[in-house]
Amino acid sequence: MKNEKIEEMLKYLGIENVPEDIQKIARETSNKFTKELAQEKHPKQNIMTFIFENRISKLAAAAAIIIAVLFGLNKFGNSSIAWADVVEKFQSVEFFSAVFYEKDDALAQPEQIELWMGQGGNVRMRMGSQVIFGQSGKITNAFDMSNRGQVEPDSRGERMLEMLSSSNGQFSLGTILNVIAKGGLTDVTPLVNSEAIISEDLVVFDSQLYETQWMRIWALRESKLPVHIRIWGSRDGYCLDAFLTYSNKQPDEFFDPNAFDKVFRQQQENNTNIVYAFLTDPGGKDITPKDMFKNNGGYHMPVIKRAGISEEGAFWVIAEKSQNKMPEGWTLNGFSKIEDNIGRTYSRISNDYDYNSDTSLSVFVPVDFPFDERIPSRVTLICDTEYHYVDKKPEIIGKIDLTEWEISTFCPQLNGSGAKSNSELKIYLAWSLTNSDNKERLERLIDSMPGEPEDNNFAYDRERIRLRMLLRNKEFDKVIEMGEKLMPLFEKEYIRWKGYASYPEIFNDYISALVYAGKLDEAEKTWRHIKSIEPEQSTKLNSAGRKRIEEDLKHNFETCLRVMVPDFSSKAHLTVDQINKIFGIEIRNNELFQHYTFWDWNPEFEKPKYKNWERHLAELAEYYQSHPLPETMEILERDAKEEYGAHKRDMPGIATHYVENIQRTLPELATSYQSADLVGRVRIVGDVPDIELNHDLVYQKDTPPSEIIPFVLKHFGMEIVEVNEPRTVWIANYDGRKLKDFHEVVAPVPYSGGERKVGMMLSSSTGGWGLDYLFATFMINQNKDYKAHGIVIIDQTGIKEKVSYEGPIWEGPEALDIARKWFHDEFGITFTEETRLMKTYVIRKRTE
Amino acid sequence: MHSERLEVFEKLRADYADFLTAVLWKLTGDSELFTEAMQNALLLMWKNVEKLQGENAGGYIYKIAQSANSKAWRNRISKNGQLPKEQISNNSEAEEDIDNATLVLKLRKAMSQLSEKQSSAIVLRYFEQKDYEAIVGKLKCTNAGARSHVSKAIANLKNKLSHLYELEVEK
Repeated sequence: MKNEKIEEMLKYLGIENVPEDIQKIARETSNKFTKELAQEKHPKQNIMTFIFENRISKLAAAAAIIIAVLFGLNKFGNSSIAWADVVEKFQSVEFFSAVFYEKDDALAQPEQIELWMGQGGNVRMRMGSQVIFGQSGKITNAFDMSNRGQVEPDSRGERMLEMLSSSNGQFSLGTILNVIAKGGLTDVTPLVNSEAIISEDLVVFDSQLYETQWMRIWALRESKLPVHIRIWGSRDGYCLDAFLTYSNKQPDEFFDPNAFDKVFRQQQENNTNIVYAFLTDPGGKDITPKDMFKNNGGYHMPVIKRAGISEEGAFWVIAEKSQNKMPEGWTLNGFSKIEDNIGRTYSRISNDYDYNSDTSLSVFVPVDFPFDERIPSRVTLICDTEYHYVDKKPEIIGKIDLTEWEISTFCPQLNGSGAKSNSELKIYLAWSLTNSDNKERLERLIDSMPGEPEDNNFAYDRERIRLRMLLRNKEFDKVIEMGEKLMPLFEKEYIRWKGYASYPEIFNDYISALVYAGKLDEAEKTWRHIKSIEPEQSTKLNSAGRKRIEEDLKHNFETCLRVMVPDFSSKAHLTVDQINKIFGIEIRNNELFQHYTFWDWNPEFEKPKYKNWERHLAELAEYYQSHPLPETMEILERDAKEEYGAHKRDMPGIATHYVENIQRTLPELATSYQSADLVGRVRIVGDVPDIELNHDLVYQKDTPPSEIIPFVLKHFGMEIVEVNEPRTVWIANYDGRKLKDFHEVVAPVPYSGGERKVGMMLSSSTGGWGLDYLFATFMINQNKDYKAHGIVIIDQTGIKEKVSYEGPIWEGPEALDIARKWFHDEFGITFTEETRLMKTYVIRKRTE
Repeated sequence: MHSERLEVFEKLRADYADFLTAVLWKLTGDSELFTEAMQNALLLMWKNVEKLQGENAGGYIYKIAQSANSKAWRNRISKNGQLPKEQISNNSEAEEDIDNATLVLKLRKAMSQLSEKQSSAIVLRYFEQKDYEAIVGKLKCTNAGARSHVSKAIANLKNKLSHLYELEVEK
């Protein structure tokens, strides 16, 4: 969009007249506001009323009224309870929580807000997906669970805190009491509603708030504490319920946003554990899965009831007290692995669980089942967390050695569940082997399964497994040949009514093979054909059932697309347009793929700067129609300046050269001379001219990257000289301790309101950072001035794995002590300082 | 004390009523948003009566307008991060008009996210058609500063609306 267009629109807005009805609204709003101010002596309360009546953030306003009532009742109706008693009582409350439920009208679903308030002006709220922290009436941090980041607070939360804060900005229970006692709610004087009182220990008060809204308060007579407050709108069924609970104060961490931030940044952490982190229950009850895990004594070993080996060599175990609950809320049933004394590898191929008796049946077979007929003399059963942690080390709960077991003809059943035949065991094993590199083993296994796929279910599965195996081995022609033969069977199975929606996934392997073999038209035709098939439905299905089946089928097709579309882009290197054609979809507008990145397109590339770059590449290609391409590299200055997003380097129609966008200052270019070997060892001498570059670097594809920046610098009158000189070096050594899970390792200094501090997080990665990155960041940070006087780290730890979730900032001399401590405490890495002769790379103006 | 403050507020309200009505309407373009923004503005005026009487009072009312407008938009879009559908679809049935209405709506939303200085500069320059000397007086800045506020505001708006590029090309 051009500037002129925006200016034109602004001018258009500028000359727009204010409609008569808007002028009327303005007058009315304005008059009403002044009237409210003028009517009473206490403008603060009136403004609140004004806001409420005018429905600005009704829930927040109503919640504030309730809190005000909670602390501001100057009379408990006509009862004998005096205001002084209430003040005294509330001043002694160390902590309370309130849960608000609001619905807009009779049929609306309620929305919930949770609020916790403590002494010292501390507030924590959960509003929608946000957890908000406040101190003294101001929001300090807002965390959003949906995108796992710090965000701008929900404006309703902000408003709620504003309203709950006192006039002088201090926020505490005492302050609220004092503010309200000065008259905040003098006109809200609830009267005892004797009709609503059903027992002596509960008092009920009513108060008319507005013409169509009233409030009721249920309070305990003895303690004088309100426990339930309701605001009701008789015009539309608007309802706000607040339930209040009181307890001893929470731990300090509960109101500490930095402590919360640490938990929040644990990517694998369960939402419940995060939202209610550090909240304690006064009765010691579990609030989160983590509490549940801790209070139940952590993990326990299942108790073996029976174990045995079938005639064909499958090992089975029935265990009681079988379920373990994990801190993340997941469950583990039975045993996960077995080992034996003859070193065989096993696969767990079924694991059934009976909830009522907390009993599990786990069946394991050796990977060479049923050909390996050896019988072990000892089997070790292992219970661990591996099945739930993808990128985290599994925790071993325990191991049990068995030397005696039953010999059975086949594995038993658990309440009718479990494998019923050896053929079934073989199929389970074969499917699990398709995900591994056991081609020969898998071939031998499926070759041992007899029968024709037309009349034997196991043989039908066998052929599907064979198809998958061939696809995995990239034998596409064979998959196509087999697929063509199997298609009628697949279609028959797809059409057959099974009691649930059919799975079009059965066609995936065949379609994928067509694509990988380059038969795109054939793939498109096949997909179109599959989409046209209508699976059978039972005549007994009612309309709701039919609708459900249709929805499930739609979902199943989407699942197919989610699997095949990204693969066709990344593995078959198809363009988005080619994929669109095959599936008859438009990926660019499809919600299924809004978070996907394709090699030739991602949503970001629709921005003008990327379009500019694509056009520019085409222009360069045209230029080289009449000019020779450079033998190695050349730099072309552009005529005009434009914003570019350089997401690709190829010029259309030119296969031998790449283009690099040079759109930065010369000093910036000089500082980008930073490969892994050079980090911390580059020095810039003298002033580098502050020239704004607007050039294209065109170079042959096989040009070594190390030659590119020296070439560009040379072009602009600079040179790189290597000198040997003594440098302070830290030799990094590792004490061999067990490393923590990298997800648990964060920067030493917590995030603090956007302010950049030494030791605070500079970057984070769900995939984790290795020492190479952490050391490189340290050296780059220490060489911020490009004088090459900082520490150079030599890594002798031998640690190659990912060690940290976050990479900290290490700028300035104060970083040295923090870094030494952090690397030692987190990883057992110590640094020995030495002076060594090392090469420094000096960038300076070229001397002819 | 309260009555004196109220008296001052009343005078200010009378002085700025037309200004606030016109500016907030141009910034919101929607009756509900306008009402919220107007309420916000009145609240801010009441809270800041003293500042509206000082020598910088003329510039301060622009800050209030921006802040009130910004808050109204934040409340409107904060729930799910989306603009309300009815606000987009309430406009003309003609295809081109719908596109223009969407553009204007997005522009207004983008304006609610500008800094106070930049927003005030836009209001002065385009809504009130003031020359740069007048802007200098209101914003208490240099002539170059005033020009910079306007051009940076335009650049910011352009940036915020950049995703509409394709829409414009198609038209």
